Amino acid sequence: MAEGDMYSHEHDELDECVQALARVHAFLHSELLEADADLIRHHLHACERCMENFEIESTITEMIQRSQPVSSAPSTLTARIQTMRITRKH
Amino acid sequence: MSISPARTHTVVVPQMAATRALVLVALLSVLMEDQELLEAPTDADLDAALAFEEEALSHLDRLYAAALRMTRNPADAEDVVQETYAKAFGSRHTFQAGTNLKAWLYRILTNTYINNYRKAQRSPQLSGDEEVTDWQLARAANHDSTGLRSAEMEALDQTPDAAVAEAIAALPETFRMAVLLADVEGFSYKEIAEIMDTPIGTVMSRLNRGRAQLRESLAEYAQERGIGRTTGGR
Repeated sequence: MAEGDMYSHEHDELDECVQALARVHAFLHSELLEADADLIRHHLHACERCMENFEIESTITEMIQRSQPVSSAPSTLTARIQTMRITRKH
Repeated sequence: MSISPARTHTVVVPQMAATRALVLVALLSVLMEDQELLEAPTDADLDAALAFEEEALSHLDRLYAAALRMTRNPADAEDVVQETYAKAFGSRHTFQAGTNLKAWLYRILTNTYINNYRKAQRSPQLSGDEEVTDWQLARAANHDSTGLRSAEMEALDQTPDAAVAEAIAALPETFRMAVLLADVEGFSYKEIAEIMDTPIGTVMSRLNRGRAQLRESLAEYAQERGIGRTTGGR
């Protein structure tokens, strides 16, 4: 009996972990409904492994942003596009 | 309305490929100007056009950076961006005021790139968009010990930006675009779906798979260099 309970408990936790993993990007990108985001937050606080996974994914997001600096358009391109304007000034 | 079409024709264009786009724009603006002369545009029309063009131009640097990421070649990036603005200025009337101009411009940019520039380098990388299966997730949830993950975190801390940029560049194109649009440009999934002209579910699966591949190749990078494996004794 006790053993059966334990198994089903572990199974539920694994399900929660699967959900947290499947939705980690949507969570990071603030794409979840508030209620769903709360479920993930709740789980992350309770599950160290999923929290670490979340931190890794969040770190990778920062690394992606850092690796892609905004390069300014060359001034020659800007000038060419200015000439295409319908409303260019004289 | 002292706009002179003749001036448009005298513009010197350094790039061959850009010429065609410019001629098109010149024709278009001649047509539009004629129409404007006939219809005697009101100040309000001109103000609206001016505001539209100013706002469109405020996104130029970001669009150029995005084009550079797509084409990985400055000359092609310039052509894609120039053509994007030619189309945008020419079809201003199809833009719904009050909607997201930045997303609208990215959509034109993406389509221009896909239609005109990707054909040349059509890659065999157009892998399917299948979902990450539950068992893969379950395996991931079960597998890693806490120790392995802190080692991964340590490895990430030591991974240089250039290695990240390279790993992103190596992603299959649709994955790379989805990741860049979400993580770098900050578009919502709905906006990305419009820009890439796919259902939201496809956007999500491209993001999940793109990010998973990226994480994997960063782990490989660390492993090849022995980064982040100092946790054993501590």
